Amino acid sequence: MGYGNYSSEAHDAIVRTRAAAPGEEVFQQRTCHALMNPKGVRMRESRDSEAHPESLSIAFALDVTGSMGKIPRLLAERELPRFMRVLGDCRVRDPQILFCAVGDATSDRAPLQVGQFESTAELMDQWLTWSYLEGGGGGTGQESYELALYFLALHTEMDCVAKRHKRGYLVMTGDELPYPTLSRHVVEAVIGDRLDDDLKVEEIVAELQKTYAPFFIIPDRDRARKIERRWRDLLGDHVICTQGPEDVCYAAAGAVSLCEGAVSGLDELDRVLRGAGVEPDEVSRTVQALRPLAEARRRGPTGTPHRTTGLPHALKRLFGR
Amino acid sequence: MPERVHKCPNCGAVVDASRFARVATCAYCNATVHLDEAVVSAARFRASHAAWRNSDPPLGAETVVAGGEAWIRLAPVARGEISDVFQVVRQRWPGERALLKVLRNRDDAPLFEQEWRALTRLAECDGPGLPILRNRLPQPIVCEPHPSSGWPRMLLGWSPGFEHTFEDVRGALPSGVEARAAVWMWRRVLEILSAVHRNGLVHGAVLPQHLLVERGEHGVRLVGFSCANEPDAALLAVCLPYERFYPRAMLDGARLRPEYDVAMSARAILFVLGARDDGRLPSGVPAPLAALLESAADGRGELDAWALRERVGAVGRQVFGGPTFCPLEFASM
Repeated sequence: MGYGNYSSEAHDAIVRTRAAAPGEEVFQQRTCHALMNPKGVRMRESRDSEAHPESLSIAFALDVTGSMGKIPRLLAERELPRFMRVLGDCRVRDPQILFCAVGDATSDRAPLQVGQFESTAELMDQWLTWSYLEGGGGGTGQESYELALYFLALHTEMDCVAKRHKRGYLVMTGDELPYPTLSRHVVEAVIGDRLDDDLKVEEIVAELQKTYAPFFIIPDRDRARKIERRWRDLLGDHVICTQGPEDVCYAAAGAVSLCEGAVSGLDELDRVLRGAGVEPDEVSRTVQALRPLAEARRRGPTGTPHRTTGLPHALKRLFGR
Repeated sequence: MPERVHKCPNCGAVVDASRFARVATCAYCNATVHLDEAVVSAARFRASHAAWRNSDPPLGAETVVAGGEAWIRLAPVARGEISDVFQVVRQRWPGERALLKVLRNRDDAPLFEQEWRALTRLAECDGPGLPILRNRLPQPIVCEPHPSSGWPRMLLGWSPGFEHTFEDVRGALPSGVEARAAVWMWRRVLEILSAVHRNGLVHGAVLPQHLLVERGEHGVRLVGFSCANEPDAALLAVCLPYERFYPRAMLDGARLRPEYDVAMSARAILFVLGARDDGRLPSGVPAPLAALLESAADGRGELDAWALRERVGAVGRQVFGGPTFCPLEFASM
């Protein structure tokens, strides 16, 4: 997959018609679309082509449980063309986008849905809007993010990795924790793979990071307090906390652009976003959300030390008297 | 439910097969399908995990193990009263920046442990104001004894941009910051104190070396929670070179009170405004702001942190008009 050219105008035209449409008209699936059912899928491919000689694979794994359903709607009604425009303005070449929808394997009918890597506006939009926004979730404080990580680690093949030894990107959104282990029974029931043992989420991330640069975006600062630590244990500085769901696409585009070296830093990203007509407030929130990632990248593992602030101050202990 | 799922290579229909079948017939096109016996091995994931966790550090890097993970120790970032603080980065990829706080003198272990208790309590609170202040307070990750020495050390979350203390600011700007900047600085400090107080703690050491200003933004971070405790608890220590920042009553043995934090915050702001040791402010500080600072520093007037924050805002508007963006700028920033 991944053939055809991206047209910003075509994409704008698609979303423009939806401005006033209710969400149920945009997302019409009332069950998992047959072509997004991961059962029996051997591989989703992201391939180079004449039109896209240096394909860059970007997988969006969107939490579609009740609390997070707003993000797919925002992408379909407004944000996805903006995401593509920012990538284009940052000169990120040949992006191919795949959409996954993530739910809860313990309670949802469609805990994982997977589209195909696509380069054209129409097909990207098609897979996004074929997603079934089940709006479930089990109320356990956990969702089956690890199931999506497993699928992507094992069932995608990307020319950026195979030909250029360059990782693709995974942008996962969510506001809950992953389950600590992925049951082999869940894998068999949802994907069809026969696993010989259960897997810890850390083991899945270890496999995934060989082929993907994974990002987890938490679009709610309040929820971030409860889950950020666990996600940082897994993904480190690749956890991004935004102030709201409307900032997710700019944060994702910014993260990819920074990691690609397509922008030199946040100052340049700020200029690109403003140039793309993004509202100053949104630019400021995006830059703020990406600051930890940008700073961590800027300094590198042996970066410039901060200044030592001074000699220790004499302390008079008042305890143990 | 079929136990194995395969798609027919001829027509793409799902082929239902029982668990141990080697051959199945496609119900749609009647093709005979030989089933793949392959099983995905968890060992592959375990090997990846082992390699991930044990990836080699860069040549010459010093590593430490904390919380069961390897971290690369980077530069020292601060030397506090009881501990040294280093920046560290998780060895595996994607890495994570954090701060490693190492106790210097075993006699100070109770202070170190008290700091951990206070920080974990704040981190677990869902109370008012705390969620939005995440990067204004140190975020605890793990506290554990050093494997060989047994001395406690802690890992704290890292937030970019908070590198200079109020002490550094005064060092770089001996004649003081602009009064306009002091307004937002004080309001930020009071916001943090308000959240800390509402969640049942008093900081007990709101000193210039415990207040960090954010580079290029209007942010302030409060650190140094080793004396933090519940109201009416005893103060655990006094930083002698900064005795003048403590209200007299604290030095005389009074129990912790939220209003002492507020008074100390006013003294810290007077300090960055360039006040002399005798308390006199530079002439450029507008009289209403100076009066508010001096009364709070003396423990008079409004001493509820949030109410005082509102009062500071009102004085700021009265003197300077509406809020404007004026981050601190000096050479070493």
